[in-house]
This record gives sequence, structure tokens and C-alpha cells, in this order.
Amino acid sequence: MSTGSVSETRRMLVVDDERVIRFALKSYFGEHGLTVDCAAERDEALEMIARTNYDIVIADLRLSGTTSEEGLDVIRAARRQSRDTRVILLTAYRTSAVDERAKDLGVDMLLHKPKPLAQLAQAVFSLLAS
Amino acid sequence: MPKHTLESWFAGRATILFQPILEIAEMETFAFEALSRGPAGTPIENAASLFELVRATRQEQRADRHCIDLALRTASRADTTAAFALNVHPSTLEADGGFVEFLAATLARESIDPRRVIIEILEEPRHFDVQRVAAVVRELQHEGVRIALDDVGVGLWNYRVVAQLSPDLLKVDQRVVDGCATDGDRRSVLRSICLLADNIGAELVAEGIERDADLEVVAGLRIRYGQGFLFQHPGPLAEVVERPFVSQIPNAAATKEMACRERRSSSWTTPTRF
Repeated sequence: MSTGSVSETRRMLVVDDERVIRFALKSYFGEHGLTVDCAAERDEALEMIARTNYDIVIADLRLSGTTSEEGLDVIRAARRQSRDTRVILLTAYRTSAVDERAKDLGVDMLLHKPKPLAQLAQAVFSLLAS
Repeated sequence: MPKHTLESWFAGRATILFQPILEIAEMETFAFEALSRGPAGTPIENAASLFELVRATRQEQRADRHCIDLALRTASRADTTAAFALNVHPSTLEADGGFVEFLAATLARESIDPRRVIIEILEEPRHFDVQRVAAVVRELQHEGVRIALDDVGVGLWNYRVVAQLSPDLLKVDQRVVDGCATDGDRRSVLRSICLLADNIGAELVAEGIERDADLEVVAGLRIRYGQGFLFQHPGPLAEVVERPFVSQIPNAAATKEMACRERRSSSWTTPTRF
């Protein structure tokens, strides 16, 4: 799998309420030269976005409970912070309404969850290389 | 949670499935291969992704021990006398100095006879010390454990390494087996592997059998064991123990009879021609 040309200074934020997912993505992308921060909930993510310019943010749509769409708040904040930040939204609950709102907010990729690691990595590195 | 625990083997949500390996002449289960899966609903759910992470973080030793521990704990509760095939990275055999003792202790804890265990050495795209791994293989075989080499035929196992490791079983890569009934090149590779196995005293497992016609070729070449979706998909152990065959295999009786006949044949150099 190609990792593209990623410098060690690239910063990633992973926003997901599942500990296993945060651990897996932090471990994997950390080994591939990214500095990875994690947030388990929306407010934590918003604070981190306010403090740091991330090159890429991966956010789950539903961060608390089964009906929340707090991932969209994370995207909105990331977009406001920097137009250069790439944003990936992950969701197992994709609808046309969610698609529409995510695109309006400027999401770069909307991926169905679970996305196998290699495919997710390909998406990340292709966005960082673009 | 410290990284070296692989987040408590992914927060206790990693699972293990089993797939039967059948003795073709008897159409009976010879062994179950243990196959790890990451936590459901995560990017590491499937085995390829799980081990992509394991290898990227160089946690093969830790992962192999976790998998073996879970597989044997599960196996000890199963109503079967079949063997269990456990996957191990060659780098683990090379670098984990306590591996033989760990395996022995785990088998003793679960009251499983070492002769029911097959260590399947995976292909790994990384150089390893063949002599060191061969020494560990000898230790394991001395304990009664059998050794298999996984994915033989298209990848990194060269003849020199195969001969040095002297395995009990060679598992033929599914990319050689799948479609062999209609592909003369695949059949040529199969015959070559049969000759290698015969000369080093190893038995063969044909992986990835999905079609009746391919099973017929495999049986005709006197390959003793088979594994694949034609027989059964990976599943929870209790389920595959009870139901090793996903459905009635067409021509099973005829295939079984041919396999028995080929095994009784005195000359391997005149197998059934396809």
C-alpha cells in the first residue's frame, strides 16, 4: 500500500467515541509518520481544533448515543479553523440528508463505517498528498 | 493502556473463528484452523486489516500469543478430537525466546495434547533467520507439535527454506488451487508442489477449494487435505464442529472414492491426468 509522501510534521485528529478505533488509528498512522491526537467526544474535539491546526481530521458522525450527529459540528469547526484541513466523516448511518449536510460543510470524503484499515489509509494519504 | 498489550487485545473484543480442514479421502475433519478477527464495526475487523496494524506496529509476538491463548481456551471447551492449526509469524519464532515454553504452558493449562496442535508459519515480507526458526521448529516437533508452512506456491517460500524448515505440512496457496481444474499452469504448479512434498515427507493441504472440479483435481493428485468455502466458511467453533460441511458436496462419494484409490496407488508418478 502506498503511503504517499507524508512528512513527520503532519498532524491528524481522530474523533471517535470507541476506544478501540482511537487506539487503532493512532497506532497505525503514528507508525506512518503522522502526529496523531484523539478525542472521544465533540467538546474535546472542538477544544483541540481551536488550539491546533490539523492537516486532517477523521470524525465519526455519531459521537454520543445513537441519534447524535455531533461529527458534523466537528467538521464545521475544522473548516472554520482552516480551509486547508482535510476532513473525513465516517458513518454507519449514511443517508442522503447526511450526505447533503456533510457536503455543504465541506467534507472531503464521506466513508461508510467500518472501512477496512488499508482503504481508510489510502483515503487519508491521498488527501494529504493532494 | 500501554501499547504493548495491544490495548488488551482490543478491549476484549477481538474474536476467533475456525475453519475445518478435511481429510479428503474420508471427508472428515482433520483439523480446525484458528482465524483471528478484530473488533466488529472497526477498521481492524477483518484479518487483513488487523494484521496490517499488528505488522505496522511490530507487535507480531504479542498478537501471536494473544491469538494462541484465545484459540486454545476456545478449543479446550469444544467437543472434538480434531487438531488445531494456529498461525504464527516467523519473526515470532525467531525473536520470542519464550515461545516454546509459552505454548507448552498454555497447552498444559488447557489439557490439550501437543500432538493435536499444528503451528502454521505465515509468510512474512521480512527477512528472518532461517536457522534460528528451524531450531525452534525442531524443538516444537520434539514436543509432538506439527509444523505447516502457509501459502506455499506463489509467495516467498523458496525451496531452500522449505527444505531447511522440514515441515510436516505444506498448505498450498489458494491462488494455485482456485481454478486449477481449468488452468493447466496451475495444475503444473500443483504437481510440482506434490513432488516437493513427497520428497521432503510432508503432507499437503489445498487451500481455497471453492469448486467441485478443483476438488476433483486435488483428490486426483493425492493431496491429502483440503480447506475452503466448498466445505465450510470460518465460524464460531461450536458451530463448525457441529456442521463441518456448509452443504452436501456434489459428487462427494465419487471424490472420496477417487482419493482413496489414489492413496492406495503404489506410484505417485502416474496420477490421474487432467
